Amino acid sequence: MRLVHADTSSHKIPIDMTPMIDAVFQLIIFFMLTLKIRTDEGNFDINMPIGAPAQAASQLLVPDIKVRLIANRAGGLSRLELGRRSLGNGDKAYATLNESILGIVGKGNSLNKEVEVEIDADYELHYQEVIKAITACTGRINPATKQPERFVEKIKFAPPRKPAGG
Amino acid sequence: MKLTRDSFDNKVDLDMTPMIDIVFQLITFFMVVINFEAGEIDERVKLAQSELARPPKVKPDNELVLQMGFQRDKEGQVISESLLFYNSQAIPLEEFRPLLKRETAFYRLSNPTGPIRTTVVIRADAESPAGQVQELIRLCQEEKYEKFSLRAMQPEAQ
Repeated sequence: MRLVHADTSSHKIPIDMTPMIDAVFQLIIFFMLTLKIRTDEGNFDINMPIGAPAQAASQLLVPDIKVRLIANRAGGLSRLELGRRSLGNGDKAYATLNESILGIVGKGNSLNKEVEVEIDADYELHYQEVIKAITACTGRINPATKQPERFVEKIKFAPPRKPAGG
Repeated sequence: MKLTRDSFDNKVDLDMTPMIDIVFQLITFFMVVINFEAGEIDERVKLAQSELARPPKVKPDNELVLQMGFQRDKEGQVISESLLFYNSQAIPLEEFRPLLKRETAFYRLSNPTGPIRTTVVIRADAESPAGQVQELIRLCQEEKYEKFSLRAMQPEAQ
């Protein structure tokens, strides 16, 4: 048999792209359907073993801080208290709380890690208010760097207060 | 110009290269941005906002995500009591203890005694009663969980 070699090298081999394009489009559709635009979530870490003995006040150079959140009937914040001092309500109260705690613990104080803030909230209070209180107690956004700086690490909750009707 | 029969028979060759380039770029984009962990996020939970909330730099080895929120109507109005969204179920907090015990038994396989090293991540709705969140924490404490992480959302993200 005589083989003709002359023309075979110049012929293009047609590749059928259809299956690959099918698979690739399937992949795109999969990724498009499973894509969720993720919002940035952050954490407040709490180390809270049950029945952990409270550190004696005399052992601490900085006293523990108690923050009381009193709810109104709608679940909003009626009054914010730091110790026995009423700070009012709304964003201004949280700003005052933030400044007061920073004043207590002192900026850059190495004892900050020992300070514990106890959050004592009414049962029906919206959780948003608790997070606002934790935010005000634990740190602030540094105006220069725009980065958060924490001045209190330890947060604990007082036992839940059962609603009057419950 | 004289048209011959051959000029009609010729196939038009489409250059697929630019399309394939773009399609692969799209696939690469989706693969990079896809977040399989988002599956654990329940859309019904509208997180509280905090300017200090930042994603953790080091992710804990084990975490148990507990989500508390409400059933809402199409307008986003709350139409139920506070519920826990756990394994595609919406259950009241009072019924959660046996499920938590079952979950704990799994973590106990690697650590039969002592505190559980798993971090409990709590994603609670901004409107959830604070007392319910505290009771959830206490429930976990009774099962010897010690590490808790309260989730919040950065304000500009919403």
